[in-house]
Amino acid sequence: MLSSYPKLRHVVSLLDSYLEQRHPQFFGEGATRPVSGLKRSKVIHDSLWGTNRFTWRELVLIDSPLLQRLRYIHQTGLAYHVYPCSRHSRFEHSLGVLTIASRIFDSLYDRRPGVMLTIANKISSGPEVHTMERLKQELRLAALLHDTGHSLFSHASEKVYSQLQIFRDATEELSDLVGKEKGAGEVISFCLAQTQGVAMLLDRAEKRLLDDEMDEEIRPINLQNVALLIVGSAVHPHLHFMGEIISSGLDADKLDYLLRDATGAGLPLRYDLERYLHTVELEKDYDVDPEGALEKLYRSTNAGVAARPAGGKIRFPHFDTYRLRLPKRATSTMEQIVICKIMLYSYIYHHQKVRASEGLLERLLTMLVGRWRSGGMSEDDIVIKFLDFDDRSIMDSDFLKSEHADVRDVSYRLANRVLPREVYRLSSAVSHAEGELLQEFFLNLKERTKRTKLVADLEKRIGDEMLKIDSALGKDGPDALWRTGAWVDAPKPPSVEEVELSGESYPVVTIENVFPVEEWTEAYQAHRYFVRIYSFSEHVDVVAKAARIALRSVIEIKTEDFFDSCRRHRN
Amino acid sequence: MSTLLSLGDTVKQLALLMKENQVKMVFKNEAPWHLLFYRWKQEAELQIRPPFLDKLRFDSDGHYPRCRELSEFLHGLHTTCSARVANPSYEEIILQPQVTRLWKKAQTDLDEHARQFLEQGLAIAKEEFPAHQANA
Repeated sequence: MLSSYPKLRHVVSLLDSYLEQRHPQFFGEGATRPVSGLKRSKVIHDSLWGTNRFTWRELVLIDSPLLQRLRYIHQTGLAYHVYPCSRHSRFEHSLGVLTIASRIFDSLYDRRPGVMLTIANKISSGPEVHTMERLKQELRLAALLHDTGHSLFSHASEKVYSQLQIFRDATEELSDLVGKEKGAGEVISFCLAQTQGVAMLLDRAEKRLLDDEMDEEIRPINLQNVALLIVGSAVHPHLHFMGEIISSGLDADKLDYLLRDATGAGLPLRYDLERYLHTVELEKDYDVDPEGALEKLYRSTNAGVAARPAGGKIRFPHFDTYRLRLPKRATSTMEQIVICKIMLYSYIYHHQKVRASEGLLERLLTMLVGRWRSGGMSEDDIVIKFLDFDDRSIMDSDFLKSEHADVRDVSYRLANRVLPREVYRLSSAVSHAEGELLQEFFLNLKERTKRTKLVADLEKRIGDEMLKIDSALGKDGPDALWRTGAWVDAPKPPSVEEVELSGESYPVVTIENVFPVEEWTEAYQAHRYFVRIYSFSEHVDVVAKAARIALRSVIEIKTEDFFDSCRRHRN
Repeated sequence: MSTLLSLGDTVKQLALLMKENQVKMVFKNEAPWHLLFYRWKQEAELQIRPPFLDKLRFDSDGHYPRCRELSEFLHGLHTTCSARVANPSYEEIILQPQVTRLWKKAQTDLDEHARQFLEQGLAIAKEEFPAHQANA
């Protein structure tokens, strides 16, 4: 499958040698674990989803360092600086996603057995029931492994390592492979599922299984399919719905994290999972493939798929597929899910102190990567650093015990919640005579290339202005920004992925047609979305002066009262 | 100027042109926008064309080739209130007059290559948008 993707192959081989070096008992030629005989299944209790049974394949991965390291990566990054109980980790989230993904699969099988068995029949010559068992196991493993690519404090570090050239190239290749845009974290999880280390661990586990006459024979699974499911794809077009269970607008990941993050923070947000499970549908559909990306993928997976048919009523060459859909009668469930997501952004992910913590960490990691590079460290070695890191690393030699005083200082702030303060807070809800300039500023932030440039320009201007005010603040602009803890924070607003509803003819009805998602996100943008400028408390005044000059030149609003209204003061 | 046009600049200028040429921008169906840019990427034969066009990635997991970067910007038009929908039918996008004044000003800075490029986009829009209104 990866023969024409050299960068992905490189990441797989890097991960294989990393696993063998760091965890020789579990991975590589000399590995010995699991040592004792394995039970075929065990139950694990979860605070959200109750008692659930896990198979031996899942247990052997859960008991390996791949999953165990997730215990030390907080699901909501540094949000515990604001919500003290938000201490849940990627580990329990991964088990939760497995549970929900499995329930969605079971619900479809219980309510639409005919369609499911037809799919099984089309993709394999074996008995349909056995194919279904195999697919369910592959789905559950994909759910379990979907977050194994995370590093310290989850998304805050992903933003930094995704800038490494190795990940830019591999992300490009993964997007080409599956025919849709993917991220760096997904590259690692996808590649981990493709390693020899994981395959060999599962093989060894199979040999250690305890005899149990009640259990049926063990059937092989396809780890290629597991890897593809992680990124929302599959080895066969008819299995697209399984990829959607793991990664889509209706996925199990969202169903778990919405409730887990809300519960962890102590927020009374809920949605009706039971109704979701009783209404989720499987619908025959098609995926267009105008440039042949999917055709290339299905040929490489040896799924026995014929070339994509062209012409007919459909405008582009395409593959027949099955998609996950919710019927219109489940609109209220979707409504609850969307509201939950928007509220979580408002309460947790975009909370000003959460953004302050994560922004500070991001700046620290960016600075460290720069120093590692200039010290001659290769990109592969930097990747290994991130694989080694988890949230505990903040107390170690790369951070709190660093030989560099500035790194120690920022790490100390992160470890002890000595966080930067908001100096300016810009919102599109501010009414002003020159309001269209502000509107245009916010619109430009919606464009990927302009957002990066706009934020960089604004920060550069702030740094330069600070030096004009006090040349002792740093040797140049970037140094002054670093020392004063000043930066511009323009987070990505919540997006509501395109969710299609079933039972309608083309064009497929999306949720926007049924309830006012656009109006809600518009209201969020106006009243709860902010662009902020931060600073360490001890430099607030100088940053405020410099930022006002910089904002005036970038947004081009001339009147002072606008900036007065955006200035944040501690009463 | 044409080489400096970004995706957002192009959407804004094209939206102005569509308004001037009475091409209705449908709401709640992004398909014509994606099909327009997909065709534009394939068909634009101009020697000087903005580099962003060749970099646009279109996902192939739905009913039409769909560009996430374009979707993000189209949503941005709504969430920043640069575009609204006309009540009560919610079918057509209306541009906000204050914001379009700024876009109009930028229109005067466009060079000949940029104008040709946008004219080509308008020609595709004239085919794609009415077709989707008929389907709606």
